[in-house]
Amino acid sequence: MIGMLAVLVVGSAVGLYGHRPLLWLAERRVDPTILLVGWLVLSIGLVVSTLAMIGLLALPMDQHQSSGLFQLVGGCWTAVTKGTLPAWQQTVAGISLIMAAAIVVRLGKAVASRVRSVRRHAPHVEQLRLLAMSSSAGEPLWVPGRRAMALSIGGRPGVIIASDGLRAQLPPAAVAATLEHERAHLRGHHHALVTVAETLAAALPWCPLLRAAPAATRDLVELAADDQAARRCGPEAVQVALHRMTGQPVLPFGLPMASLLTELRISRLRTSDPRAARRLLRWPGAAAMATGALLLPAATMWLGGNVVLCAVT
Amino acid sequence: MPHLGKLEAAVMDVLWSTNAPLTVREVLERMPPQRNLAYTTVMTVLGNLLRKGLLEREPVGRAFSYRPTVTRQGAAAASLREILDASEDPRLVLLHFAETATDEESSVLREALARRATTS
Repeated sequence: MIGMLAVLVVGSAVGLYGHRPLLWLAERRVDPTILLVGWLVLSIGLVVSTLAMIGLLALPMDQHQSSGLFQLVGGCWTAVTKGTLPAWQQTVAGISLIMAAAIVVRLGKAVASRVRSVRRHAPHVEQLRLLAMSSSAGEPLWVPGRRAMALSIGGRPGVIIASDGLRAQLPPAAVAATLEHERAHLRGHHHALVTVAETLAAALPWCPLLRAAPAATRDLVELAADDQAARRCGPEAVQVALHRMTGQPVLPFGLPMASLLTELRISRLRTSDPRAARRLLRWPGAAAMATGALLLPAATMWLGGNVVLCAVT
Repeated sequence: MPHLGKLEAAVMDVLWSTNAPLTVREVLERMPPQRNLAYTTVMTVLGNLLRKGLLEREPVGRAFSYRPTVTRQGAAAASLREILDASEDPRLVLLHFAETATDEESSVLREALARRATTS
């Protein structure tokens, strides 16, 4: 019970304050891929751990009479239905069950809403995929328009759409950098990452970590795609593309009209070289971040496994 | 914008790749050989596309030659506009290169595509 309470306290702390260290690291310009791993693993881990812990709290483990997993489940069921549990344990189990059901229902509703949205767009997206069929992989589907524009639509296969204005207004290197940025979104499954963060936030909006995750994920996928485009086409080309497409000056000062994200993107490209050696630290960093973020679900699983094993043997 | 099936998209792709109008036989010859289509199949698909308003035809001797009424770019713009129209929040579907003002940009994009669709 003490172990469970400890994990519950740590889980609550992660849910309430887990976003702060990630935002702190973002301010120090830690690699966006590492931070993306942190946000997503921590968010998913928190939801899974919370459900697992609540489920364990609801189970009257000490009420079973014989060994074996099925007997354990049967013993718990008998204990609940026969009313042999102490009143406080029945209350805890009841509250736990209600909480677990509420979380599952809210997750289900959020997923169903997302599926409805995908279905609503599916015919049009499929149409774009068919129209892009003749283009070679990674090449954009060009649409008319004087405004310079480039975007990507996730899925299998993903589609990149760019306007004629992009080719007309940007130098070839900046066009290549823009398209490379969109290819990075597709290669990195960035649409799916944003979808996961948004679905969890829609399901459990009262959790500060999950509430902060969608905006952070959206910003981080842009930074990660910028890095990849800069590696392949040079930071100057991405910088020129951003400058031309947003109408914002390249210099990172005096930007009253600039959004914070664009300001940050331009500033990062000016001051840091994504080809630098610190890129080598990306995967070890991501592994370390994932390990840290997995501590809570791992502790939960270990505790749950111990409780169940102890009961069934 | 009427929706295209896979075969219809492949036929439109052949017609878009050629500047001149094509007869059924010419479309069949330009289709990828692995499709192994019958003449009548291509004729039926062209008939469907004609009915959907995506093609027009003119008599050439005893046959008809077909040409697209919309460009590939116009069709893509129309589909993109439909996605934007169906989206409460286009960010859920699209990732833009420049997301400085997502709401404003989406409305500008929608208007630009609508304008092009009506003028094309």
